[in-house]
Amino acid sequence: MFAASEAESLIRRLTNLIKSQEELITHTNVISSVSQTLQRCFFYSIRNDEAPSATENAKKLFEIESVLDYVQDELNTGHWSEVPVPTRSCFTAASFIKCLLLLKLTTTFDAKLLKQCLKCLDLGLLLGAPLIENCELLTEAAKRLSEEINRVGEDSGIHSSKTNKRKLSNDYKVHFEKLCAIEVDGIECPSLEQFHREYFSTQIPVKLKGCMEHWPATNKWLDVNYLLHIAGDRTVPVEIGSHYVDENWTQKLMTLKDFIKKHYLDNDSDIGYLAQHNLFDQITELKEDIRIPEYCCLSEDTENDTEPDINAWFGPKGTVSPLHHDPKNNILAQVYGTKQLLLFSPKDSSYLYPHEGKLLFNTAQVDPSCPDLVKHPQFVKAKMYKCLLEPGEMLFIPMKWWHHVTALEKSFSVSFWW
Amino acid sequence: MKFLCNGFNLYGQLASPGYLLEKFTPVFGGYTTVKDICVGHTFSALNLGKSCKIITNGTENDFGSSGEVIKMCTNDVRLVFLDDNGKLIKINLEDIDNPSEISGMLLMDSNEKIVNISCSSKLAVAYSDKGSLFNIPHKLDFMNEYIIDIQCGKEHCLLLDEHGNVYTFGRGSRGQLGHGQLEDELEPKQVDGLAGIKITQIAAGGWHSCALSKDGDLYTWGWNGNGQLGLGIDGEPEEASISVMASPRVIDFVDSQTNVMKIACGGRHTIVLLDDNRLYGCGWNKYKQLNNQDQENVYTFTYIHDLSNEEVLQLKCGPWNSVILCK
Repeated sequence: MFAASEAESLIRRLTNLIKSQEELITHTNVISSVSQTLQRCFFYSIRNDEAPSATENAKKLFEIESVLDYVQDELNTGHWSEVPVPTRSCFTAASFIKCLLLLKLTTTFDAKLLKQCLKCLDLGLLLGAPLIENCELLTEAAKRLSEEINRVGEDSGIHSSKTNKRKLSNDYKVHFEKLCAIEVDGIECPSLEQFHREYFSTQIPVKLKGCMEHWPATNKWLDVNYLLHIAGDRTVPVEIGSHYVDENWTQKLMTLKDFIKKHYLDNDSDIGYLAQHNLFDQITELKEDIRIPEYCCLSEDTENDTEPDINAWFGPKGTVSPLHHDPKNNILAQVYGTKQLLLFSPKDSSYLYPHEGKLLFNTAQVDPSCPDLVKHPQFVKAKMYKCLLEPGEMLFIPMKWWHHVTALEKSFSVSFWW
Repeated sequence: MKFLCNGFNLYGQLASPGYLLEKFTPVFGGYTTVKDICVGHTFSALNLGKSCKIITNGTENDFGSSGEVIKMCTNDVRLVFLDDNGKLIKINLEDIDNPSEISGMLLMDSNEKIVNISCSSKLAVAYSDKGSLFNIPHKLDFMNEYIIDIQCGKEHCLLLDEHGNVYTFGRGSRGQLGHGQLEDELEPKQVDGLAGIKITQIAAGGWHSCALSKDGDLYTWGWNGNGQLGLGIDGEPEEASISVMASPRVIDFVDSQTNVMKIACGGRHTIVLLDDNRLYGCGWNKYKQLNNQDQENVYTFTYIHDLSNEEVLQLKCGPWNSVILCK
């Protein structure tokens, strides 16, 4: 009875987060039989039932699983970008309902159950799309579950020293100095106006120093136990393999704790990189530790003043993003660790041998850190820029500028695209 | 005819009790004149000769035809059937009382009629007796008077001609077209990896494909996320498995003398009948669409059912079901 009452109380706290029940259970984008199943599961999960039968419980779990699997087949059909948002929202809603059912049906209330619930919500966040009226439902529910896991007292920490703020090994500095390239300008915390005049309007890369001193992340995130406490049991996408053009490259979902253990602290296994993931919409607690640079409000297009796309780039030493360009302006903020960037102007694109086809057109075939001049003779004509991005520094990478990024140490960066 | 079926039955689409049939179970026993069946996610469709019947959630609906029903196909939301007058009738499950005729295809002359169809969630393909092919309603440039079978996956299509050639078109992002790359094709293109091999049967799963040669060799290609290509090696961990195979790969059964007789694909699983009348399968088993074991994904072709007491006419699958049509 104790387990049941704890679960009941958590179910109540989670259902209290629902802003619109109608939106949660109304899905006209999937076939009606399936959306009716989803509704039945929801009402079952919130029903006050003295003694639900075990067979009925098992059936309800089967039903919500079948809804999720059905919708997942829909998500797998067609290009990701063509999957209708309401179909993805249905997956999100069904994930939330499955989480309620797991709590409703449980006989033991423990960390294992809570982790299973949390994984289910994370899949809803990662594969689905936010509802509108219930836009914060899953992020808030996941936050509650994370807290609950910490409360039931499972030690999620890993006994590890802090990632020390240490001076970069001199070898890299020497190597960097020798690179035959123009070093990108560095400037101390420029005014918005100066940044706009000298760099943004002219689309010239520049290193911005001393602009991150007010970020809590620069201190807090040095301690992996802090990240583990906030988000150790959260499921995140991890890229495995040396870089995304490599044929053995793949993407896996795993908990942040497993990622940190296997790929971050243990250097022996394959390179794993938590790359280009919007961690801050998934785990809003971490968003409080960063600050959107005010430079991101600059725009040629005054109509367009939406928030920038924020992505996390978290990984061990040695992660590489091959030479590529992005369709937006980018500020890459280095929370800790050092990265080496090689950059080229869009004017030099033809010397960089972009891949053909619609999938990799924004990625170059040439590797600027080790160019093959027999295969890519034109590369000698390209004008290379270099930047050593150290903790607390930000790099402005103008739209369409080619960049190749190597982590020289364990590193956490945050990118802002606008 | 007798139908043995297993798998997902939450919507009563197999007209049997229980939301999951863990073992092959005789279904639709009351209908002695059934010529063919299609099992969908929420319903089944029976071909009764001059009409079709839809079974779902304990209800039955009949739809008459202007002639003999020669082909049915289904996706999640509709049944389409074709009669021997070339008429195509479409029934939307959400609006079951209002069947409509599919017309408006650009036929070349008034003698031309549709003789074969196949459909899925993203495709509806029709073939005429003059050798024209339609991705409804568009006529394709492809012409071939010898097409004998059409099978659609979720978003790709396989064609077989009587010479044993296989052509594919549609979405290729999961290798399902078998052309060695992941590009889409708007027009059918011959699968080079099968050139020179006389193929006698084809089957399309959600995002994978199978072909069976005259000599009894099985070829699979496309998406292998759940092991549906049967490429795995026994005991190998799941992570070692290939996720996409963009060219046909021949499957080695333990006994190299073994020939495959019949094939069928579900959404994410594959079943085959061997010449000793034993049924093998691989792929997704979460809904017991292969056997009643708890293993969720089966990465190699595994024995699932003995059919030596049956005369098997055809194998079929629903998205999450397997169906055996016996005499």
